[in-house]
Amino acid sequence: MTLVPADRDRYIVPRWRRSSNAASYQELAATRQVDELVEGVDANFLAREAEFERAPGLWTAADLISAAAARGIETELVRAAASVVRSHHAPTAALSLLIAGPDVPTPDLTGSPARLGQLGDEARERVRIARAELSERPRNAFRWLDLALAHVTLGNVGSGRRAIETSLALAPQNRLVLRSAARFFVHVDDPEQALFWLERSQRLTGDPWLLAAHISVSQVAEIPMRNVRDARLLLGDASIASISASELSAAVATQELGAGKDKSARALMTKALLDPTENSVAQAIWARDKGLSGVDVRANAVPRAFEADTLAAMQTSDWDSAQVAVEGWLADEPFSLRASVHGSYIAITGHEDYQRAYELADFGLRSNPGDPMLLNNAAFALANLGRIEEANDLLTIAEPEEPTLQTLIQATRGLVAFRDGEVLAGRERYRDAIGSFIKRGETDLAALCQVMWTREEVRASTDLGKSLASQLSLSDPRFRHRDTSLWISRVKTALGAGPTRSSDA
Amino acid sequence: MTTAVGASPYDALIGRTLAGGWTVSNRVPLAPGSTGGHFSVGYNVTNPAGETAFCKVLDFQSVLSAADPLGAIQQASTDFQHEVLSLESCRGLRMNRVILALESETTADFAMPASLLSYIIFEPAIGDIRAVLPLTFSSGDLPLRFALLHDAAIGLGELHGARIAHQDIKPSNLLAIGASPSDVRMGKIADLGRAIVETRPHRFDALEFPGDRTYAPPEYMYRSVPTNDDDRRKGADLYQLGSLTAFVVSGAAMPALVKSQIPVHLRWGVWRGDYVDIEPVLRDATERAVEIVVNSLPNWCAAEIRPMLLNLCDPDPKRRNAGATGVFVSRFSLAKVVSLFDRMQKLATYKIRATP
Repeated sequence: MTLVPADRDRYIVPRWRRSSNAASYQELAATRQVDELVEGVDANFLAREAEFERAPGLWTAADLISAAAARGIETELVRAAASVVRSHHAPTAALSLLIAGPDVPTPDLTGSPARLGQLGDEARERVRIARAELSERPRNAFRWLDLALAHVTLGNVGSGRRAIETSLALAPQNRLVLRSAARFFVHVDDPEQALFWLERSQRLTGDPWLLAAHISVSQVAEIPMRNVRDARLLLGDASIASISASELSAAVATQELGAGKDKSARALMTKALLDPTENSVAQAIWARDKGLSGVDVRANAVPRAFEADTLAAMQTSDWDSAQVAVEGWLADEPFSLRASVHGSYIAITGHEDYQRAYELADFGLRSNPGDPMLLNNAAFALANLGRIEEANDLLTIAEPEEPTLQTLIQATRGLVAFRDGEVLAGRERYRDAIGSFIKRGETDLAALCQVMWTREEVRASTDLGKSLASQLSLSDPRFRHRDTSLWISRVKTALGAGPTRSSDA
Repeated sequence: MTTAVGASPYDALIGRTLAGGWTVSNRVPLAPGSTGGHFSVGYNVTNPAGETAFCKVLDFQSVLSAADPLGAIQQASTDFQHEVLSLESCRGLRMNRVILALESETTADFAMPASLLSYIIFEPAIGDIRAVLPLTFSSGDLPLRFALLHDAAIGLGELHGARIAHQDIKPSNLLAIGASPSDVRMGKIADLGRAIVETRPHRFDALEFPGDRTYAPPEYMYRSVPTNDDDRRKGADLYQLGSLTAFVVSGAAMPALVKSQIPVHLRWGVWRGDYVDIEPVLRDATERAVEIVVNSLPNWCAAEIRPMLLNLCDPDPKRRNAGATGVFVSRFSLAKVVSLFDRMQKLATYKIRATP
């Protein structure tokens, strides 16, 4: 069986994307609301115009075009200058670029759904390109970040760490560098290092983006928040742009929710959604699922909110949308454990697409080697594909510390045994798992485990199968979870009896 | 905008002989943005040897028509005096890649507005480099381009040696010296009207950046003024030298190219925030812009110019020209740049000769 353990806790840890990704630039925005500055015509610009008008040659035209491009303005004479340059038989690439008009660098499309194989190939290519560029221009802190990201995507954590540390050495005060590094250190289970770098920054207490990162990493590390007062001061500062306060507000809201202060959490989460980042939207959707009511959150409030879309689609069992969204999420943050776990879970639960589920879990294992949940999902998918030996191998590697995960893997061992023809062993493992879940009060998981066991009994056409299936009732509160209900429907379908409430009764 | 050369009371100077035997011949239009352009008129002057020079006359008539005439007179006179004194310093130090004043004078002249005549006669030049640069971007033109840049670097080094930061290095302020546009002998830096002189306080000292913003370093465009004086002044000059190099090589100034490589919502004029956050974006944009610039050059040359441009146009003023640093070499030393341009010029010349 499988489940989404990350659903239990979610902290608004910063995203880490390629630096050229448009969404990354959002984090660089001014903290405080400012009016747009307009670069205007000044005496120097008029001089360039006058010189061109007096002597309309290539070089006066080129000078005027540069003056106009630097100021972002266009006049009749600038257009005339562009014509002069165009009539020149071979303008340089630089001049051609400027006269082509105000160009916009093509946004990085990272985040679009992509094939998993492509993500790995792309990461390898990015490592190659970044290394080549850095060998010539080693002071580019963002390039080091990108190199680290590609390394981490490929599972090269050591190389990733070295690249992150170089980036931090080059730009230790830069917001994007600090937040990306924080995400890296959380990924490698070293949140203390993230806190170290964030606390080294003189900007921490005055920058809501950095403070949000500090609070969320403190939550991950289960360290008491040290900057609550600063956070509240910043959240009360009306000059801070809503988008800059969004993640900080969501981080404090999460803390309040955990402390049972729902009213405060609701107010803070509402503030977080005034002009939210996609991360804040995902946090709000998660909080709503955890019971925080009265917060108006829509997954489509911001573009490219892949995680939020995934969570929202899962909450309504819209599995097709969930699959598309989660693959976008994975392309956006290819190293993300949660993205891989959600992806493999959706493929298993939503579509029973075990090949895809295995690929997603396997891809996640590259960046998160040894993760017990991914190993479990991969083994679950492999067992369903009939690849018993490989499934067994993966389960042997899995060494979860958390009791719930230990029990989950025990249940999956039951599945593998059934598929291997070892009905008695399978039955024993399922019983053992159900007992453990019940012992810890995890009745919803015990119920799901019972459904999965029944599924195997029915599939093996045992007498016990029919008996167990008759106990599966959609009206039983234990089976009310939407995903458990879905599995019951499948078991009933397999039995040839539709899941009707009348028959259940 | 047109620059009509209307009648000026100073046209009465035409035909008159000024200090040094220079005779005023004809009026030259001054662009409004040139130093003191609002308060100056320009004339060609010739000497008995037939040489032509440029004479800048302080236009007291325009000064008197300003909203605050007294303040304007004081400011125009101080600016004029500042330029004269700067030029005298340069002459005293025998700078040979900076356009010097041949004569300057302020005299009572009752025929002139405010009964005053103030002028500077500059050494003769063909014009600025835009008048002499070839109309092609071929390798055959490289010796001239590098020769001019070499002279610009020497000139800037001379100024820095005299503790003068030019602050307005741009194509129109690099003049070509020679017999004709096809016979350029050297380049010289002109226009100290916006210069910051360490040893002499002036009102420009208070300005963030007194020069033309077309060529200003990005930190000023993002309103981040370096706290260290050298980073602020000499650092700006270094960036402008890099930008001038980009212009001479590719026809495009560095700030314009860099801006084109920055995502729209992060460009100056739009984005506001801490410079430390935008600096890596600028570094990225600068690296791409430099690639576009050196794209105009042959490979042998691009490999040398690329690192130099990256050094001179480093968006971090504290790192600018860091490649020049040595045990006894200041980061602001232009020796390596001068040497590189010299080598590039010689190599380009050699390669032309070697081409069958």
